[in-house]
Amino acid sequence: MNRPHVLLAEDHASVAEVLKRILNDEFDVVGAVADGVALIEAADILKPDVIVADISMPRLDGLSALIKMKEKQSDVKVVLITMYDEPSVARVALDAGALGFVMKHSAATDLIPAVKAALAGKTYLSSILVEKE
Amino acid sequence: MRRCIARFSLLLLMLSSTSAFAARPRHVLLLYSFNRDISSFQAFAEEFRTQVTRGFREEVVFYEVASQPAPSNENPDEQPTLHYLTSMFAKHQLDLVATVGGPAAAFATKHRQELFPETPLLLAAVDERYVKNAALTANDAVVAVRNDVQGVIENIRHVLPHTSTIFLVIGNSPHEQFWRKQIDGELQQFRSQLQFVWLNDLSFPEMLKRCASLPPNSAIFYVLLSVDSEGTSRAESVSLSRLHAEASAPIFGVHRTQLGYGIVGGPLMSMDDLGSVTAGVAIRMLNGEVPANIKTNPQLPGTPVYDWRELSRWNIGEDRLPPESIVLFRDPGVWERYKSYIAIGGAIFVVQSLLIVALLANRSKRRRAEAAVRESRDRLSAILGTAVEGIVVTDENGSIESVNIGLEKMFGYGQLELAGQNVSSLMANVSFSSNETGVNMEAQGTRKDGSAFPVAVAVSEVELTGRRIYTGFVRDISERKRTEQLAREFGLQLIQAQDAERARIARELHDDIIQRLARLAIDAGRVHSAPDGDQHNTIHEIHHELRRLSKDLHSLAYRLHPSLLESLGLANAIRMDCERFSRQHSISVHLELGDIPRVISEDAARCLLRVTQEALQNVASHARVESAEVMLRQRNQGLQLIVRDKGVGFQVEQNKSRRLGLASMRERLGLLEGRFDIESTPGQGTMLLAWIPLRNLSGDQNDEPSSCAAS
Repeated sequence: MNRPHVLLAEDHASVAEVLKRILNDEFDVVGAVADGVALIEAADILKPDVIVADISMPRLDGLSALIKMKEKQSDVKVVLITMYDEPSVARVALDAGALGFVMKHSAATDLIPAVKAALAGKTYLSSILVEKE
Repeated sequence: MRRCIARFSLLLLMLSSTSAFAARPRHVLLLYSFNRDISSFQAFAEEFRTQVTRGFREEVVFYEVASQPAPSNENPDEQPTLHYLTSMFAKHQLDLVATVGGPAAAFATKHRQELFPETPLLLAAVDERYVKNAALTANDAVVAVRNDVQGVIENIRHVLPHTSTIFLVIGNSPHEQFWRKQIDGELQQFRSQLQFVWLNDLSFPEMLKRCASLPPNSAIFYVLLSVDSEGTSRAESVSLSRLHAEASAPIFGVHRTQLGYGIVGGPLMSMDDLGSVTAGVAIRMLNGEVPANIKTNPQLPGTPVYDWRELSRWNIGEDRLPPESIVLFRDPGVWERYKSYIAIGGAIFVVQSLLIVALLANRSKRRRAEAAVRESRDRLSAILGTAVEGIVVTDENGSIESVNIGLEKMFGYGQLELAGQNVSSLMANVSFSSNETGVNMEAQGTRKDGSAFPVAVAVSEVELTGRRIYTGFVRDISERKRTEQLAREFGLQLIQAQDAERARIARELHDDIIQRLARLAIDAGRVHSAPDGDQHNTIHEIHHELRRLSKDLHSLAYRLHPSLLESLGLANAIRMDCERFSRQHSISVHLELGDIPRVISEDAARCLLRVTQEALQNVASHARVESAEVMLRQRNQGLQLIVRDKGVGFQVEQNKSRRLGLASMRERLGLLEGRFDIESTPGQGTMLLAWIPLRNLSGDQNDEPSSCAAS
């Protein structure tokens, strides 16, 4: 059983624990980091199938890390999870190359579909955003 | 009386002559005509004695005696003289008797037998005409003179050709009468051309009077004045001098001795020469030669001699004088006469010149120095005059001596109004004294109109030419004080704002978030006891509430510090803010983003973001509108942000409730050398303009302009 590899980046330990539990239902969480800089290093070594990253992180936020990783490896698949529910932020994220944009409080329902969509090379937006748009 | 004088003179002469009686001294008697001739013929006698003493090998003793005391109009009493001469020379055998002048010669020849019958007699200084008929013996010798009357007249005519009348001054004694007759005869040849007037009948004062007002072309011939018509005897030097002083015509004479006493001059009889010739004859006689065999030619007037002063007085040109004439008493000339004065004057002139040159040099140096001083003073006064600082100079008592324009302006006084006033009228509580020097005091200044303003004063003390003056540098610190006051107020407002924000957050957390959490905890606690159907609903409600709660907290956190600016970039961050603002306040924001450089310093980006947030917050709080406009674009090498609404507007200067927000915006922009402007008119809306200079741009421009309308 060859499950997709997911790299998780979330600075808040308890949130990270919940997200790992959600992801573990369908995927192998091969690594968990707490900031953007560590994310870039881990992604380089682990070569995960999908990266799930919080936007708000110390040292380097998830959005900036996405942009840097895209510069080196354009086909990296990233799902951003965030508390920001402004469409402009989602737009920036998608423009930067993110495949998923998931609101944190919708993670229980939206995260698995978002990662699956990303694995398929499709874009996924949290329903709350889709509603707004 | 006259005899007494004569004897006294005789005695004197004897004493003075007895130098030595040793080995056979020869005794020579000089017999003068009159007592006063002893001095008149001094030149003659001196030369005679000198030459005899020198020329004769043996010792000679001279006796000098006058034949009669003074000339007289009457026949003189000769007895006393005879008596003395016999008694005197009874013991001393005379070796030679020499007479001087006519009367003496007459006396000697007349009394020869009774006085000195054996002694050789020398008749000297006697006119040849006087002795022409004298009975001379073999023991007698004569050294005659020829007083050349003709020569005198010719001389007068020669030097003064226009002369028409000659006044002859002569006394009235028998001796003089003799001469008047002699001369009158000799004048005969000139009578066709000249008129002659004898003054012998006049007394001397009358003569003076007469001679004082002589007609033009007159001349005076001073012949001889022994005794005038009044019988008064006069010394020649005195009478001639007085005549000279009064006479209105030139005076001519015969003797060399008269020259210098007022005669013009001419061929004159020299007494020196006469004395010398007479001495020669006397020596031969003392040597034993037979007197009668010794013949000498009559002594004639010598080379013409003139008195330069008289020539000048009577305008007689020297070219008129006979050849080889001698001019004496020549005016030494300006140089000769004033040589010493000129020398002293010249020295003084030179010294003065040097002094003047030195003073001039000094003056020009001083002028240069003064010009330099003036220039530097002008420059200094220009500097001090234009100085914004007020400068006041006082004496020790605080009395104002001078102020600059800056100070006059500062205190509202006119020019020179402050001189003499006490500095305390400008600044109470400031004393200009040693205690206060150098201290930068703050004080209250009082303007002329009485208004007060704050000043800073620094006083310096200067010791100048022995007295103390104080200079105060006064600065108007009203602006500084105002700024300080504003800063204080601003700081206070910031603290108040911070407190208010904290209170608001605390209130929000306590009144809202915490209450909602409490309610969630209550709901969660009820899940166990709730019936199955309700359990699902309760959990769903809890989940829903938690999502809203987390969102509100996130919002609260973001308001405290926008954390995504770096990754979003300024444009996106502003766009996000506009979206958030629109959603929160239901005010649509039209966002217009121009060409925004991608790389903007974080400070500048954060500043503009904050200003946007602040401005939008103001719109929400005060404008009472449903839409607003936000514009961000490049202008003048900088980024311009405009936030505009068409709301109620406000009075910019008066609205205090917004001052903190505006001040903080202005403050933020000021720190980045930006500009902040707000235009608002009540009822016309508000426009806020912010501008920040863009420096160190990478030239990397942001993508195409974009716009976003959030609803």
